[in-house]
Amino acid sequence: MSLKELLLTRYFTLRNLFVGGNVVLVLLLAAAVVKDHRREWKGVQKEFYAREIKRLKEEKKASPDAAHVDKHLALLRGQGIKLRQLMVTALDRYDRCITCHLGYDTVLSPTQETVYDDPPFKARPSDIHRSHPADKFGCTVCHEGQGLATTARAAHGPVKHWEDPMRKGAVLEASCAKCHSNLWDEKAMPFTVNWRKGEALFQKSGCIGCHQIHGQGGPISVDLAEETADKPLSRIDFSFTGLSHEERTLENWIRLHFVRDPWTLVPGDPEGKHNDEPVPPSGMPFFNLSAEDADALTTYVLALGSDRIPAEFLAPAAPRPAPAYRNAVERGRAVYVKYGCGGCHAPDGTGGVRNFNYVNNTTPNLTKVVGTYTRPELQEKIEKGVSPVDKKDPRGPTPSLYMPSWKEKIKGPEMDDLLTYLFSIAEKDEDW
Amino acid sequence: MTEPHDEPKETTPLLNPELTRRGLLAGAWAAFGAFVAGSLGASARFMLPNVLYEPSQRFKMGKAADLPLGVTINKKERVWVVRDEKGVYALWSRCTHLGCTPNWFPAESRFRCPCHGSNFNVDGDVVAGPAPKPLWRCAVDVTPDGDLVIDKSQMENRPGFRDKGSFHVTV
Amino acid sequence: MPSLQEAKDKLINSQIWRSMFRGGTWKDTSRDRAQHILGNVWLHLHPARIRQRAVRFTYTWGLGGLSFGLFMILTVTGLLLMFYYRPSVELAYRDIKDLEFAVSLGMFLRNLHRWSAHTMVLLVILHMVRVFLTGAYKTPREFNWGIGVVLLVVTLFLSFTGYLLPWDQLALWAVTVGTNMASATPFAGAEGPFSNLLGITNANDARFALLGGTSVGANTLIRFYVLHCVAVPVVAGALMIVHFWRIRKDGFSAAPLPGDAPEKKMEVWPNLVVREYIGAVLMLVFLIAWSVLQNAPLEELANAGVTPNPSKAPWYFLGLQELLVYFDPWLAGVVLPGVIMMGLMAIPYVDPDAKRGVGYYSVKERPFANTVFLFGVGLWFVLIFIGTVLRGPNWSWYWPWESWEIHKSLPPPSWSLVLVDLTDKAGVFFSSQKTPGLRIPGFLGIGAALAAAGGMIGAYFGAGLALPKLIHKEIPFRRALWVTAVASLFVGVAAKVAHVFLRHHDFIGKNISQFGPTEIAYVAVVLFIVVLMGFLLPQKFLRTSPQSPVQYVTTMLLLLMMLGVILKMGARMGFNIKYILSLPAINLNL
Repeated sequence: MSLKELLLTRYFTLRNLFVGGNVVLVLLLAAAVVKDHRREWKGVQKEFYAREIKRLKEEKKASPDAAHVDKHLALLRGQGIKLRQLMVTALDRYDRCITCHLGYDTVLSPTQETVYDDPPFKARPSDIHRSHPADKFGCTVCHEGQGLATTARAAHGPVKHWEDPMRKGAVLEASCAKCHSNLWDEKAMPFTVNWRKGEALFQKSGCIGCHQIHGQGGPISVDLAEETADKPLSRIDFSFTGLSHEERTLENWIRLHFVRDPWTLVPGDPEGKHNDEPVPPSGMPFFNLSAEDADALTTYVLALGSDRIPAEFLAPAAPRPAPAYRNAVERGRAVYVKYGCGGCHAPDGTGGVRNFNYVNNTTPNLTKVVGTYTRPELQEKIEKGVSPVDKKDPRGPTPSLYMPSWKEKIKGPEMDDLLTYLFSIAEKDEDW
Repeated sequence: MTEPHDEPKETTPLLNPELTRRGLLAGAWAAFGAFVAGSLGASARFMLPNVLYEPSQRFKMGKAADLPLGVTINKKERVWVVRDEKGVYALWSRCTHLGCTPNWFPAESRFRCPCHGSNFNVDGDVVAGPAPKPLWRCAVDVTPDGDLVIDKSQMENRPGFRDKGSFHVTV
Repeated sequence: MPSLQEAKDKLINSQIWRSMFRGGTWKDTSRDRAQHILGNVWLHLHPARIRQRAVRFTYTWGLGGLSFGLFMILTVTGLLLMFYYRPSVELAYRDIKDLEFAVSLGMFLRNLHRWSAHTMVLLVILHMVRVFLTGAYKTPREFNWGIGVVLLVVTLFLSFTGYLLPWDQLALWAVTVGTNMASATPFAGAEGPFSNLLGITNANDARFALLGGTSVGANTLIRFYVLHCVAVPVVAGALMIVHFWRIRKDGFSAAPLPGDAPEKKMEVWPNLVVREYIGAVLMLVFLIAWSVLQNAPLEELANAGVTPNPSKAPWYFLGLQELLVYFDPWLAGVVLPGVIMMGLMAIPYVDPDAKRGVGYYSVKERPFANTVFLFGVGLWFVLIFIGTVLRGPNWSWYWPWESWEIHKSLPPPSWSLVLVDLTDKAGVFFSSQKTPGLRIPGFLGIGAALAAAGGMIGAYFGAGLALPKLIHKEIPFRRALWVTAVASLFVGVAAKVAHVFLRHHDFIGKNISQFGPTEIAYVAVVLFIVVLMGFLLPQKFLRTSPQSPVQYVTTMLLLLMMLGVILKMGARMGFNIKYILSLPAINLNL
């Protein structure tokens, strides 16, 4: 007989299908139940209780009168294996981190400290932990990650479709900015070291010359607070980054701007191959920061983001004292930094920042150029700006960097001081 | 046990001779039909909400007569309001590529997106870069008082459609 | 001590038992088996005996029964999920996350619900195909077929409303795309043709009624929840009652074969019931395995300010979404689906032969019906395939091996064959964004344009309707196929040659810049399909069919419209032709 007949009469008879089908059904249901039952956090909890009970027993052996040890043992033995969560309704966060990180559970571990060194059992309370009790704040408002998750991978991230993976290292300081507006204050906020380093780098590099923060800053590029710090991942073009899927986070994307050449990430279309007109590559200079500097600056940028925090969580802060300047040159220097002129003209005014298809290839060296202007001429130049700048190749793309018109922004005393500063750094003609 | 009816019995005289049994039943069914139709209509009306809890997308921007020629930037609402010889239109300042806010360069008459280099002309058409579609225009209206009102809940970007009606009003 | 059998007998004959389960001790006679079916509320929809042919699994493949079984699985799993899900925008996403992480068997139930839903849509479509191929829609079953079409739409709507409930990005944007088509409804939609006539805006149109607002938000979520969990299942249940009732009353499965040979009948208990049971168990096995192995997707929390690129509707609507490339929303999203629904319901009434091919797979005996129907279903699935697999960011064409990160250049501009400008009063031929085309001003222009477009469309439908009937003798089919193939290829090559001479012309150069082998293939393949399906096949089979004129015209109109879709697709994909006729002033484009 044919194969089909053979199969139907020997193996796939009605009886076999009936019996087999029912058996497989039960087995599959059992498989589903077993799979659901086996959770990694259950093993973690069992391990924790075992260790703690062992430790407490030894402690009891060492000092048999310790009544508190008995109490602690009783407590541990009475705990079931169950999900634990910190419920912070005001912040709409429900963090299940303590399901595995039992050292931070206030009931099981009153001192919030464990003797273990391996995660997730390691728990060392810091000053910040003490001033931000877990039952009031939860975990994820600072550490981010997916609080609702109950597996390590999903909770810590990065996982697909969860845009806020856990913050580690320097960038953890960015979370402080959610409630604290005084990260600059070394005395009040001693821990935000990287943020302060990032702010210093930000000001030195003159980023505000091209970028804005909440509308204040240069018009050449994006608003870092409104567009960058909270950028959804689906809006980021990762295609030139070379990052693996796991590495594609907002944090890494921001960091790339500082360690990678922006021309490789946003190459544009300078020869107009795919467009009606040529498109220049990114106007951002290649900062090539060290890993630590990049971390610091990433922290600073991430801290510009906004989370909706209820008023009762916002921390009061003393206002930042205005710095004192001794003379017009120092004041002028402060204006130079305030408006980020250094972003294009270099922190020391010597220019040399690349500008694709610009007739002189790089931005003007102010120390050489300023001397050729009179004071009113220089003021007019700054007020008017230069836009667009001259192209090297007329058929090529318009250079990305140009001199904006500063008339509305730099006025009166600020303009005077700036001019004074600029003339102070200008090279003096020896013949004078 | 009923008796066979051989002859018609004497019937009581009708109170209302015009109203026959058939007429009454027909009328009753018609009334029922009207009830059903009315209920369906009323249910349909019930399903259309009268109040919406959606944030208002309309905002005012000064007097239309005061609007200068060319492009006026409204950063807060994320629109550019453009006035030309024909009238006024409003462009949503959102690049159709990945949603960044482009910048306006009056000297080159171009909106240029700093993120990946898309260029749009003053009509909103893509002239360079990876943006797939023209910029969206928001509906514009001028109140009887002369106020310029922009409505971001209505958008249009197709050439032809965006040049008409509330998407390019004469002022 | 009494034996087990004695104890069992005592129990079954006790008053308590007999009050609940009538029947007493099972004697396994014909009478008992018949009584078991007829006396049981759940089983008595079956007859007591059934033709042997109908028992075979390969007759119906159990598709209808499995669809109903899936509906039951979905009801049960859905009901359980309802205990943990709250339809509010603040809570819905978190509740789904909780089902995934914190609820025992939550993830499993969610998976089972989702995969059952997809399977049900697929099986319902396959069931329709099976019913067609076995002629089971013919008299007296026409009305039941119509109920089935409505049930198909109900199934799709159930799946669509459920899609929104997780309130993630996939949900929000799939439903936004899907419901945007409602605003393209002629007259009743704010973006559709003739909307301004009735003062329809986006605050009172068909889409507004569906969403409960002007955009997909909290209002929509609760509305879809009620529709999904209560309103539509009740409607589906009522329709299913009628559907099953008609199956039973019209003679159950496998209508008697012609020839009136009295067929042997088998007892439904246990022969049919055990096969139904095994079918259900095997399907459950498949679904449970799938649910254990693969998790239902859950993307980021819904965000109205961030549109994913691409934004795709659920797979069963992706065919429609793909059609949007070739037709304006009112056509692709409203008219075409409406015509398809009406066309499907009309099938039993345009089929002139009530006797042929009923109750068995009559593939050879109904060549025209089977070819055209399967062609239509095939076309539908091709569109779904294109929309699912071959469309990437910005709806550009991406082959399956191409990463979606590759940047594709902007598509070339599209153009209209005929444009009627009512505002400036002119008729324009070959107008595009890049070239102004041939503009004839005034009413003369408008008249010429309308005449040209009307002429083209009229010629297509007119010739299509007339030709199969006009040519009275039988055309040798094989030879005709060859001739058509060669002729189509020849036309393609001729077009290429014409392009070589014309490409320096401004219009051709800017709008049809290249004409290579792909373009020749477009012309040849589309022509071949249209001539084969629209002329050769009808000429061969409908010429002599006993259809009434109304039946013939209906059949041919539906067929020509289906082929019109293919023509439009070829025109757009090959030559960037967007519209045959464009009337921008009234929002009407064909």
